[in-house]
Amino acid sequence: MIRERGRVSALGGAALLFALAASAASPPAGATTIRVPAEPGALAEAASRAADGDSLLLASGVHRGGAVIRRRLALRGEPGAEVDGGGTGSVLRLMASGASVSDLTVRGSGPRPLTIDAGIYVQNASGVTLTRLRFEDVLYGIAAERSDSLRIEHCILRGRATPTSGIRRGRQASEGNGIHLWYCRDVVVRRTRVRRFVDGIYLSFTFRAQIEENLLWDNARYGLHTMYNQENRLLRNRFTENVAGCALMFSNHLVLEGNDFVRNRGPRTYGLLLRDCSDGRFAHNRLAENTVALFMDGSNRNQIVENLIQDNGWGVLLFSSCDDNEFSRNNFWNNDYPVALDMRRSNNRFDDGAVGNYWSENAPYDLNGDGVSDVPYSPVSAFAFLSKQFPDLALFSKSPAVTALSMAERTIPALRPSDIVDRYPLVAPEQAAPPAVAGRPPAAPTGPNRAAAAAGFGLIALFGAAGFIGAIRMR
Amino acid sequence: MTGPRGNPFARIRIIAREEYRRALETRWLFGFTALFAILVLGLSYFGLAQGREVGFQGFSRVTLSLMNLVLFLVPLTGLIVGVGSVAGSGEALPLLLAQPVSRREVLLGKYLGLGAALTAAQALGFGGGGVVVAFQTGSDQIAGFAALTILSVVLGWLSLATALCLASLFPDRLRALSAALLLWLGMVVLYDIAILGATAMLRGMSLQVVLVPALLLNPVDLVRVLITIAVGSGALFGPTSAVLVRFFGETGGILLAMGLLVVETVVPLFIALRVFRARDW
Repeated sequence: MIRERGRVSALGGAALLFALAASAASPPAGATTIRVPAEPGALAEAASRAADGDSLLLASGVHRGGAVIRRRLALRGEPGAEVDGGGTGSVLRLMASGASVSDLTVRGSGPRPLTIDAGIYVQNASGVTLTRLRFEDVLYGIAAERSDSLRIEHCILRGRATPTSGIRRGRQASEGNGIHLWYCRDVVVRRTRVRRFVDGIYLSFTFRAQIEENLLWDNARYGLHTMYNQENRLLRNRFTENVAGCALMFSNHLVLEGNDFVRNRGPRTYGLLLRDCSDGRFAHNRLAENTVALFMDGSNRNQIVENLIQDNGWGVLLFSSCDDNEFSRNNFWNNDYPVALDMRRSNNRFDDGAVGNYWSENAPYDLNGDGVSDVPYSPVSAFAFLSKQFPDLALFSKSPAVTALSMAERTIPALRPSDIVDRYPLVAPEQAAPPAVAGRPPAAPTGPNRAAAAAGFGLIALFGAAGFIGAIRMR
Repeated sequence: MTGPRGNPFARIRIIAREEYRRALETRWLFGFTALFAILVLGLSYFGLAQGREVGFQGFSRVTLSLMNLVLFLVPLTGLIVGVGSVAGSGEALPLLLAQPVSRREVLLGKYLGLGAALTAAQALGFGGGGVVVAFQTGSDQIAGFAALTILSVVLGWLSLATALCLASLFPDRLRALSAALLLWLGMVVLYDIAILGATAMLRGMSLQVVLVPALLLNPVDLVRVLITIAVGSGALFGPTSAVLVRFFGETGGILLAMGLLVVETVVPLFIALRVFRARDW
């Protein structure tokens, strides 16, 4: 093992600060940088011998065997440095406040969910910083308990779950979450990509978390799942192609702004699911191409404003347990059922008393030219009402019969099933919400080649044309 | 020269050719083709333009709106063209029957000729629309559009067979046309409304027990479900879709569905052959 001992000059301190990014305390005078070679057991030994404030610089190559960090150390990898846990337990365990890990690849956690076998397991340590890490072949990515002010930034996590395996019986128990936090306050997760876990991010009893600009996709259950949290902020994240996008449960005072919930599709799939979440604010989000864009149950007094809700099966699916929510200035484009609910009367509002929403299937007229339609609009169709109670009826959603029914409703308002009405529907859509800045969306699934398909259809058209010409020439 | 005399296939072919030529000559089918091509192209183009306004590609909306068009127009055209060519076609049919051809050959010839004409019309419409869709959208929509094309053609042949059956049963032109239109309205609209009503009344009955067989029995519904699943918005179907997608999404399910469609084509054609042969024209 090579040890470089020496006083840290002002210049060297800058390099150290890089690794210690968020820990406010400046390194003590005796701090050293220890270079750890890529040899089995070297990392564990170095970690046990280092003192508070030391830095461990991991040499390029595979460091076999995990380590337990009990002192305030800064672990940093040279390019190409990997830590491999060898398939038992957690790879790195951090039990010291102010510790940090950066620029590493972490792989090979154990398979047991009972012990939460993770890439990095943070326990009872506040102010831990995890930056530019890559996790591969781990059961859980980052797990933390009772650790406040944790910061996770610029990480890429990839787990062992496959999107369909969660559905298969018995498999889900053997798979973990990407970022799994329990009893942590003031956590920040930024610019991180998570895929192939059960839940991309799972937060329970996590207060004032800030989840920002992450890409959560291709997870076997939820992109993000919260239970019993308060005052979390979800900003500019992208939830796509998860079995369900984002499920927030028993969490009040949420702020969700600028998020994308796109293409979360499947038999039980939601873009955004709110269960017992009250007093939240949901603005400038884009919910598109989900089976159900927004599902609400037992959630009260939420403000849902200026979102784009487009091309979903159900735009808003509202249970009668919801009360006093307000939807205004949202754009509802081409949803099969813009709003479905199961109550005849409700004090959920679809306008804020002056302005309502834009509904693409509405045919509004506006004689006084104030941008608000002169007649109210009821977004709940009889069929949506019925299919809310009997979901199996969705089989008929595209049936001409249903189209005929909705035309009848428009002419005969007595057929309308619900009193819910937007009193001030907008004539033109609100300005589209600004795009989320999160990571690049995953590539579209590869289908048949576009040019080949065009050529194929062209041939079919030629075939048809030849048939016509042939008929004329037969004469 | 072997000639048509000894070879039934050659005779069927001659009748089919004649029927095909006549079908494409009459304004009905020509108008249908033109309407179809214009609607397909128009919907493909404008339907997509609208989706792009806010930056997202449609939820395969083009295919789905085309599907409704197909479900309305194709059975209607098939039924009317088929009925018109047999029932009340004036002197033409007795004249044809007086020739040295068997009645089975006449009916089969008519069926093949009309079917080919309808297929040509659909090929022109869908081929053009498909080129537009392929150029304008992501490639994940193409599979759905291809399924739509194939199933539309299948539906055309199916409704032709039904039409020939009706025309044989009711030789009077007016009666045959009325029966065809009633059947069309029933299959396309009333059937679904009846099921919706029944569901609302049955409340809580295991819907899968009622709904799935109901879907299988009506070819229009079967085609609709198959296309919706192919387009990928089968996700919309809720819990039942888990059953349906698993069922129809696999080879066995597709084979069963296609098998049912074939049965629903062959049975009316068989009845038509039996009745047509026995009737005094």
